[in-house]
Amino acid sequence: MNIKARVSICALAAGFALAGAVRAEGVKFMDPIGDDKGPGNYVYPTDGVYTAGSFDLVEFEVTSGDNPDFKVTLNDKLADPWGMGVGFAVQMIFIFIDTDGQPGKGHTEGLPGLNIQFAPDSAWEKVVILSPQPATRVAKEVEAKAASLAADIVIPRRTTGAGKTISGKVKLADLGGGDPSKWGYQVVVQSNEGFPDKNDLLTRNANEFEGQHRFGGGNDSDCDPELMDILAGKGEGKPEEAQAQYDMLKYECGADGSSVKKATLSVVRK
Amino acid sequence: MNIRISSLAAVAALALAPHTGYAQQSSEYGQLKWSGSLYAKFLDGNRQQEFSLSSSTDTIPGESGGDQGQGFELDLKLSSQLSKQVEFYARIQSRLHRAFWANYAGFAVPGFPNADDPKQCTEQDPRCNQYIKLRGARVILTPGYEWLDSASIGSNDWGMFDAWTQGKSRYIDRDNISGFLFQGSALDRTLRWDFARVSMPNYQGARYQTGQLFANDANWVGQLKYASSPDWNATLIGMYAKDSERDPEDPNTLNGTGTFTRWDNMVVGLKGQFSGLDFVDIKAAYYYSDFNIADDVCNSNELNTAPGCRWSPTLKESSSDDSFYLNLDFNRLFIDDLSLAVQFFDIGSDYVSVAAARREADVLLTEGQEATWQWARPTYNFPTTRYSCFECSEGGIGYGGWNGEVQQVVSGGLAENSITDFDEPVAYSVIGWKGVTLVPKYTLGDWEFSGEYSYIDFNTNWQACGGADKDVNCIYPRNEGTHSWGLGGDTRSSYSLYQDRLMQIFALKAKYTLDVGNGIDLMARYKYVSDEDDRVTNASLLTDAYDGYPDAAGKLNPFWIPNVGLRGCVSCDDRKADYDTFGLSAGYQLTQDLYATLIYERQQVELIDGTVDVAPVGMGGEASNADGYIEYLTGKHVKDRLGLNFSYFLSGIEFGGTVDYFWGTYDPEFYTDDLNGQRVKLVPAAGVTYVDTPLGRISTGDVSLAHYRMKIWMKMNF
Repeated sequence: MNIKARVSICALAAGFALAGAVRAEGVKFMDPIGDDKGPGNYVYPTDGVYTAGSFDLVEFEVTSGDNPDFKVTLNDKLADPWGMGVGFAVQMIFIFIDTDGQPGKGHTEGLPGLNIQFAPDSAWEKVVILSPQPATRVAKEVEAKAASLAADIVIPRRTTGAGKTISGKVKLADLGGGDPSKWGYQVVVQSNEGFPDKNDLLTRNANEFEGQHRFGGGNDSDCDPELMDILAGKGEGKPEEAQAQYDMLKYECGADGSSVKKATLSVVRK
Repeated sequence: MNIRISSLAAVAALALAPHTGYAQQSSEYGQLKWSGSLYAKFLDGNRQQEFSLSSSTDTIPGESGGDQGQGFELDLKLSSQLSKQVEFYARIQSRLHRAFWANYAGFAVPGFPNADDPKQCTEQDPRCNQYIKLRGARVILTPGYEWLDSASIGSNDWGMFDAWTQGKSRYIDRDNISGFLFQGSALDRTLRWDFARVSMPNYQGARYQTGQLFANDANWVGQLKYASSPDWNATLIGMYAKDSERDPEDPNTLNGTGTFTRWDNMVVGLKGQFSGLDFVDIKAAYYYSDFNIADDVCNSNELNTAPGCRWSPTLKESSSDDSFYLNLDFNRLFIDDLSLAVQFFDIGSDYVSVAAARREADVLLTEGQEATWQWARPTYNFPTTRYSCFECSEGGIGYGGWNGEVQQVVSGGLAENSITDFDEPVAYSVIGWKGVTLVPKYTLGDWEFSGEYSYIDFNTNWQACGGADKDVNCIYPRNEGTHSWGLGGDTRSSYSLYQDRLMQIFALKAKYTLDVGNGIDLMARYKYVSDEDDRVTNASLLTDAYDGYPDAAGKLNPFWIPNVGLRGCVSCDDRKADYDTFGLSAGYQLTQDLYATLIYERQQVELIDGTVDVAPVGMGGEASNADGYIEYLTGKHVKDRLGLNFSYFLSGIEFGGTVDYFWGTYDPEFYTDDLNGQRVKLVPAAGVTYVDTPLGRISTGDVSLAHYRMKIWMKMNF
C-alpha cells in the first residue's frame, strides 16, 4: 500500500470528523470537586484502579432532541483496566429523573444496592443507567433484581467513555417524551461491580472499612447509602453544595444494622 | 529488665487497644456466604490440537495450544465477615486445563499419541483429572487501631500497588500469589499507606527460578499515597525483592546454615497527578531500578549453554536504569467533545522489575502493534506432520493470532501469554521503548472518532550488544528468539544483539450507530505501522554479527552458502515492515438477549527482512524449520478475517463466543546484494521453484493459509 493511499484514508477520516453539526441546547448541572465522599466520610477502595477523582461528579448534561445524550463528567480521566471495551470500566452512573414534578407521583424507592430513597416531592419516573457492562447484561440484572421497576429503567443501547465523560443516548420516547430541560435530576455515582452481591444491581458495597474492591466509611450492613457522589443544592457546583450532599445522605442504623433512617435524596432542577 | 518488659507490654497494650467501642453488631456478621461460578468452554478449529482447553499454552512443554473439546470449570468462593474485625475469603476451583468432557472425568483419557508419550494423560495426572484445589485464601483483620486500617494474610492480586513494581501477577488466576498486606492511613486519611511482603513464585528470578532455597524468597513493597486536595496527589512506592540461597561455604547446621544473595532487585518510584488546570490534567511517574546478581548465576559470555541464562527474565549481570512517563490529557481541545491524550515515555533497557505486572495492565497509551501478528507461529514455509510437538511450529496460537488488544508490560521476559485464548489480549514487553503517543478523540453527533500517532524509538538500539563483540559481556537474555519485532517475532524478548529500530503507529477509528431497527453499531478502522530496523550499521561489524553460532550447526539449510561479511553491505540485513489493517464491523441487538457483531478485517504486511545471505543475528537452533521459531517471511502477506462475536444473557448466566475464519496468502520475495554493497531484489529465473536461504529452501510460489476457529463459553454465576 503506497503513501498516497494511506494519506487519502486519513484525509477522508478528517473530513468526516470536521463536518459541521449543530449542537442543540440542553440542560447542564455542575457539582463541586472533592465531594466524592458519599455522606462525607466515604473513602475509595484500595485497589489501584480506583484512582483519585474517578467517582467525583463534576458536570452533568442532557442534550435536547429526540435522542438526548446523557453526559456525566468526572474528575479523572476515564480508564478501562478491566477491558470492558467502551472506554471506561470502574464507574456506574444512575440518573434518576423526575419528569412530571408532581409530588408523590412516581417512585420513591431507590434501586437495589444503593440503599437510598427519594423524597416524595422528588419521586422519579425514569432512571437512566450508564454502565460499562453490555446493555443486555444490565437489562437482565434489572429483570432479576428490580423487576417491579423495570418498565421505568432505561438503558442506552451504547454507553461510552471518552476523556472524563461517560455518555449514553436514549430515545426521548423511552423517557415518556417532554422537555428534558424542565425535568428534575439526581445523578448517583457508583462503581461497576461485575460480581455483585445477590441483591445488588451491579453496585459496589460500602462497609465500615474499605477493602481492595469495597468502599469504606459506611456500615457493614445495608443501612448506609452506597454511592460516592450526587448532585446537591442547585447543581451549580458551589462549594456549599458539598455540605448539602452530606446532609442529604445522612442516615441512621440500628444496633443490629437495620435501617432507622434511610438517606433521602431530592432531585435538582433548573 | 522487668521494668522494660512491663513498659513494652504497656506500649503494646496501648497500641493494640481498639480506639472505639464496638457495641454495634451487624446482622450479617457470621453469615457464611457461598458464591461461585460454573464456567464451560467449547473449542473447535481446524488445527486439530487437543493438548489443552486453551488456545495458547506455549510455556509448558508438551502442552501447546488446543482448539478442540469441551470442558467445565467449577469455582467456589466462601466468605464471611465474622465480626467487625475479622473476615475471610477462600476459593477452590477445579482445573480446566485438560478437563475434556471426553476424558470421562479423567478415567478414560486416551494414551495420546501412544502410552509412552509424556503428553498422554492418565487419571493420576492432575492436568486432566479435573481435580479441585485451593486457589486462594485470605484472612482480613480490621482491628480498629489508629495506626492500622487492615491487615490481610494470604492470597491477593496485589492490585493496590502498580504495574511497574509489584503488579497484578497471574498464574492462571490472579490471586494465586500470597503474602502479608498491611494498610493504614493518617492525617484524616489524606495520607494512606500500604506495606506488603509478597512471596515470590519460583519462576520469578534469574533463569526463571528462585534457586533451590525458595520458600522464603519475597518481594517487600510499600507505598505512601498523599492526596490532600482533589487537584493533586502523589505516591511514593518502593520494592525490594531478594532471592536467597544456602551458602555452600557455611553448611554447618549446628550454628545455622548461612545464606547468600543469588540476586536482588530494588525499584523505587514517584508518581503524581495534577488536575488543577482547566485545560489539561498532568500525570507523571519516575521509576529507578537496581538489579544485582551473583557472579556465577549467569555467564554473559555464553549465549545459550548453561549458565548462559538464555532463558531468563532478568539481566545476566548487575545493572541499574530508570523509566518515566508523562501524560498530558487535554479534555477539551479548542472545541467541545474533542480531547487529546499525550504520553511521553522512556523505559530503560536495563530496567528490571521482577514483580511487575505480567499481563493485567497496559503501561503505555499506545495500542501497539496488531495482536494478530504476535508470535502466532503458523507454518508459512514447511507444512509439518509433527502435530504433537511443543517445539514445532504447530505450537503457538495459529495463523489467526490473538484478536484482543496488545497490552504493554515492563515485566521483561515475564510477559505472560500462556493459558490464554485467541479472544484475549496479548501481553508484550516494552522494555527499552521510548517516544511519544498522541490519542485524539472526538464525538460529533452519532459519530465517535479516535486516532493514534506514536513515534517509538528504542533504548535497546545498539551494536554488538552495546559492546565491541556480541559474544563478549552481553548481559541481555535471549529467550525465544532474537527479537520482539511483530510478524515472526515473539512477545517477551526485548533484546537484539544488533538493532537500530524505529517504529511509528498511525491509527484511525470511527463508530456510528445507524438508527435502523434496534440500531446498528458500525465501526471502521484503519491502522498503519511502520517498523524499521537497520540492525548492523557499520560494515566493520558485519562479520561479528553474522559469524554464526555453534547451536545453528545442522539446523541451517545445508544448501545455503553463508556470506559472513555480507560483502560489506550494511543495508543487506535491514528489516523493513509495513503493516496495514482495515477493519469493519456491524453489531446488532438481534433479540432482547442476543447481541451479535459481524467483523471483517484485512491485515497486510510488506516485509523485507534482509537478503537471502542473512541468517538472523544470534540465531541458533531456532533455524530448524521443524521448530518454527524463526521462519523466512520476506514478502507480502495478506490475511483476511471474517468473524462473528456474540453475547447472550439470561438472568444469572452469560454466553459469549467468537467464530473466526481467516484466509490469506504469503507471497515470498527475495533480496540479495548487488555486489556493490546495495540490497537488490532477486527475481528468480523462469523455472526456478525455490531459493536457498539460511532458513530453508524456500518455494518461490505463493503460500495459501486458512484457519477456522471457534470458542464459545458459558458462565453461570451463583
